[in-house]
Amino acid sequence: MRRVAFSLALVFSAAAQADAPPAMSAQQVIDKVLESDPWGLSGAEVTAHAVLKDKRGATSELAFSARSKRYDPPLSKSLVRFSAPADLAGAGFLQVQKRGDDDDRYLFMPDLKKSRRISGNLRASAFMGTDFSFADLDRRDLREAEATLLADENVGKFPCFHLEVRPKRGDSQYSRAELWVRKDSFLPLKWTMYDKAKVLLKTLTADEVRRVNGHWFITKSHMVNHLENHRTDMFLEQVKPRDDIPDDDFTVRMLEKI
Amino acid sequence: MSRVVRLLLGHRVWVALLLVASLAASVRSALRLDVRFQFRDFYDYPKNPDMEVFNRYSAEFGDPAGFVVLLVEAEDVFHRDVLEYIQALTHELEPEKVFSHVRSLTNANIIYGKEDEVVSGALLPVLPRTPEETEQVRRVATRSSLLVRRLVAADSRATAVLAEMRTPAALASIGEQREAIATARRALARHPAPAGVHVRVTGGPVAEVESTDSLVHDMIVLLPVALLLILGALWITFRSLQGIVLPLAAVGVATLWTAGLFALLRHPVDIVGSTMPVTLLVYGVVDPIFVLSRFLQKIEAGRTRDDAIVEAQSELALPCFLTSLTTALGFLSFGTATLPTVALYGCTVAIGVSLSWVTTVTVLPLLLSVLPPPASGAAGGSPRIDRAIAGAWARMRPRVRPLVAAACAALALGAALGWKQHISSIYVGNLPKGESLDAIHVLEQKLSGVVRTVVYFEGEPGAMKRPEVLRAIAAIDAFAETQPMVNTSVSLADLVAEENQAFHGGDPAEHRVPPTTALVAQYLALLDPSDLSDFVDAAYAKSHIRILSEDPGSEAFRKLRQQLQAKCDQHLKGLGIRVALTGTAMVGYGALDQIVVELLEGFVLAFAIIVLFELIMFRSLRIALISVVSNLLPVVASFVYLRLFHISLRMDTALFLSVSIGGLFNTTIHFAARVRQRVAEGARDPDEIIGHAMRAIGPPALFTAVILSLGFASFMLSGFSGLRALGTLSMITLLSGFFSDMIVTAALLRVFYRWESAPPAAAQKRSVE
Repeated sequence: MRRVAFSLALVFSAAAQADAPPAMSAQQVIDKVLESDPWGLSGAEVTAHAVLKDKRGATSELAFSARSKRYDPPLSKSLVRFSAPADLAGAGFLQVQKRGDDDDRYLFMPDLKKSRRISGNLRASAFMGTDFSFADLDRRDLREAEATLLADENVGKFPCFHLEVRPKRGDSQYSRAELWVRKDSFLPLKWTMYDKAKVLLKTLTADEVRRVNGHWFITKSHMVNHLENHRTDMFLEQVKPRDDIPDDDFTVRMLEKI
Repeated sequence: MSRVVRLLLGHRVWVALLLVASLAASVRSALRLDVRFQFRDFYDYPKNPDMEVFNRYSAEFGDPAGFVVLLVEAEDVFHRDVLEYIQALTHELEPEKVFSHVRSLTNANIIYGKEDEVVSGALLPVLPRTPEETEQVRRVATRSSLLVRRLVAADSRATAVLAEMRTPAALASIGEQREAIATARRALARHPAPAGVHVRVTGGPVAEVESTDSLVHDMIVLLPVALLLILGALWITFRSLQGIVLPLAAVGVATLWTAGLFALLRHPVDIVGSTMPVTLLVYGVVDPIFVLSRFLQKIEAGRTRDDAIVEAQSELALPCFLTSLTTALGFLSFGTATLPTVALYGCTVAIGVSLSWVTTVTVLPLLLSVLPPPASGAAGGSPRIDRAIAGAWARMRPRVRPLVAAACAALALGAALGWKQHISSIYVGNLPKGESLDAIHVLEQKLSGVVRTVVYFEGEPGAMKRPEVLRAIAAIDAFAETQPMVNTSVSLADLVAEENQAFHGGDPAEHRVPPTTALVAQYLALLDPSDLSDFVDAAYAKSHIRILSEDPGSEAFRKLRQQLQAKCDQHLKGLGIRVALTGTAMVGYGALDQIVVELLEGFVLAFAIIVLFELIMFRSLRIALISVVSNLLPVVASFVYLRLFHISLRMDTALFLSVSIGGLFNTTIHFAARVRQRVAEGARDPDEIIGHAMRAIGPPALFTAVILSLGFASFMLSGFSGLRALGTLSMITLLSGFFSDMIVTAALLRVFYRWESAPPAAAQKRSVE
C-alpha cells in the first residue's frame, strides 16, 4: 500500500513539473510586468473614473481620459485629461518618462491658461487626490529595484509569482513592496507597499481583469491607504490598446489645447 | 446627646468594629481615586455650550497642537548630521501605534515656484550632500509660510519633530499621553543626539502629564506637612501623645470617609479637589480640640472618665454642630455651580465637614473611653494671651468710634481696589518650574506654543473653494498674525496662496487667493490628501485657522476672542459661513474663567446664607450687619494683597474664598453669643461685657486661626504658583479675620449693639452660645 502511494506521488509530481512554466528569475518577472500595461498608460487610449472614499466614508469622483505611447520600452509618454469634477474639467497632465533622469511632468490648468513644468520630488505625493502616488504610476520603483522571488502563492484561484521588491532610489516613498504577479498574464493582482518605517502603507488589489485585443488590463482595482484609512476604486471604462498615437500628441502645445 | 453618647459607650466594641469596617471600605474606595490635572476636566462637562463645536471640530481636524514635540536645537538644523538625526527619529516614531502622524523636516512637503517651474513634493527626498544643496533647502524651508515657526525656526536654530497622537491630545487620558511621551523618550534613548544638538520633549501632552505629576507630588507632600504643622500645634496645646492622636484620629476618619465617598463619584481629583484633604483636616480638627479640652477640664474637676466624656459632649455638641453647620452651608453653596469641579468641591467639603462633626461625637468619645486620659493641666488659655487681650481692649475702648470709621474706610478702599481685580486664568504660567516649563518657553520663542485657538468655519459643500470665502479667511488669518501673543497662524488660505505664488513663478505679489473657484479647486486637487486634510474636509465644507500662541493668560485671550469675532463678523458677512471660535484656549479658558466667577458667586451666596443664619440665630439685624463688616474686611485684605503683588484672580487663587469661608464667621458668632449671654446673666456695662467676651473667646479663636492658617500654609510648598498664592491668601484671610473680630467686631458691637434693649435672661436660655 505504501509503495502504491509513493508511485502516485511520483506521477503527480512529474505531471506538475511538466505543467509548470520554465523557471524565471525575479528580474525576468519584473521585466514582464513592465512590459505589461495594466492600466493602459503605456500605449493605449483609456476612459476611466476613480471613486475616492475618505476615512468618514465621504466619496468624491474623478473622471479622466488618457492617451499613452510606449516610446523607449519600458518608458512611455502619457497625457491625462480630466473631465470631472467640474472644477477640474479641462485640466491636463503630461508625463514623459526618462530613463536616467527625472521624468518630465507638465500640468495644465485651464484657469491659468498655461501649463507649468512640475519638478521636484512629488513621486510620493498623491496623484490628483487619489491613493495612487505618482510613483505608483511611473513604475520607476519597479524599473530601478532589487527583486527577489519568494515562494509562489495563489491569489484567488490564480497561481502567482510572489516577489519582494526593494527600490534602489533614495527618493522612493517605499522601503519595499511585495507583488503577486499572475503567471499567465504577468498582471500584478496584488501589491503591498511598505513605507520607510517598514509599516504597511498601501495595498493595491486587482478586482477585475479583461483581455482587449490580446492585451490584459486591470479594469477594476482598488488602492487602500492603511495609514490614512482612505480608499480609491479605479475603473477603466473603455480601454483600447494603440501603438499609432503620434508623438505630437504628447507635447506641451497639445496639453494646453482643450 | 448624653443618651446617644452613653449608648455609644455601652456598645463600644460593636461601634469600633463598625468603624473599622467603614474605614476599610473607604480606603478600598479611595484607592480608586484618579489624581490628574487635565485641562479637559475643567471644560468638558454636559452643560458647557462650547463643547458641541469643540467636539465637532476635534472629530474633523483632531487637536491642532496636541503633539508630543521633540524640539531639536542646534547651531544649524540643516546640517546633514542634524537632518540624519531628525530622519532617524522620524522613522523611529512613524510606526508607533500611539501616533497617527509624525511630521518633521525630513518628511515635509513643499511647493514653490522657480521661474517657469513649480517645484512640488518632498522638501528632502534625499538629504543634502553639498553646502549649496543645504542652502537651497534652508532657503525653501524658511521662506515657506507653512513650515517656518511650525516646523523650523526662522533662524535655522531649532526644528521640531511633531508626533501627533492617534487619540487627539485634548481627548486623550493622562495614561495615553504618558505612553506617547514615553514612546518619544524611548526613541530619543535609542538615537543619541549628535554633538552640539540639544533635544527636549515638550508639547501639550507633556504639560498635562507634568502638571498631573506635580499635583500628585503636592498631595503626597502637602497633606503630611499640614499634618505636621497641626501636630506641632496640638503638642503645644496638650503636650501629650493622646492630645495629638485623639483629634487627628477623629478628623482622619472623617477625611477617609469623605475620600471614599468622593471616589464613588468617579470624578478625578483635580487642582481644586487637591485642596480638599487639607481643608477638611484643618476645619475638622478644631471641634475635637474643643471637646478634648472640655473633657480634660471635667477630668480635672474629678469626674469619672465616662462622665467626663458625656458631659463634655453634651455641652459642646450643639455649638460644634452649629459652627459645623455654618461651615457646611458655606461650602454647600458652591454646589449650585454649573461646573462640576466647583459643585463637587463644595458638596464634598460640606459632606466632609458634616462627617467631621459626626466623628467628633462618635469616634472621639469612643477613643477617649479606651485610651488613658492625657496628663492633667493640658487644656486652657495662656495668661499671657489673656493679659494681651485685656490690654488691647483697654487701649481700644476710648477709640471705638474712630476704629469703626477706620474699618468702614478700609472696607470702602479695599472694595474699590478689589472691584478692579482682574480675572485672568493661566495655564502654561502655572506649570511647575523645571525642564518642561523651560522647554515650553523655548517652543513658544522659537516655534509655536502649546495653547491653541481655532477659528472654525463651516459652510455648504464646496464653500471653502470659493475665493471670497478664502479671502475672508486670509484677512482674519492676517489679523491674527499681527497679534503680539500669536506665534503662528495657518489657514487654508495660506496654502492656496502658497500654491498660487508657486504657479506664478514665485512672485511674492501672487501670494494671494486666486480669483476663481475652479483654480482654487485645481490647486487643491494637486495636494496630497494627507496634507490637505489638515486644512479642509473632503467636502470642502469645513476649514479653520489654527493659531498657536504664547500664554499670557485668559484676559488676553478674551480680548483676542472679541477681536477675532469682530473680524469674522466683518469679513464673513453675507458669505453663508458659520464661524465659531474654539480650541483649548477658547473653550478651556472660558471654563476656567467661569470657575472663578462661580467661586466668587458661591462665596457671595455662602456669605449671605451665613449672615441669614446669624439673623435667624440671634434674631438681631444689627449683629448680622456687624458680622458683614468684620468678615468682609479680611477678604478685602486679601484682595489688596492680590492687587499689591499683581496676582490675578484665577481658579486656584480664588479658592481662598472657598477655603476660608468656613473659618470666617465662627469667631464672630462666638463673640456675639458670649456678649448676649453676659447680658442675659445681668451684666449691664458694655465695656465690661465686650472685654469679658474678648478674653473668653480670644484664646480659642486665636488658636483656631493659627491652626487653620498653619494648615493652609502648607500650600505654600506646592509646585503650582497659584496654590502657593492660595496658601498665603488663606493665611492672610484667616489671621486678619481673627484681628478683625478682636478689633472691628468688638468696636462695632460696642457702638451699634442695642445695649438698653438686651433680651431678658429667660429668652437668652434659648439663644446660642
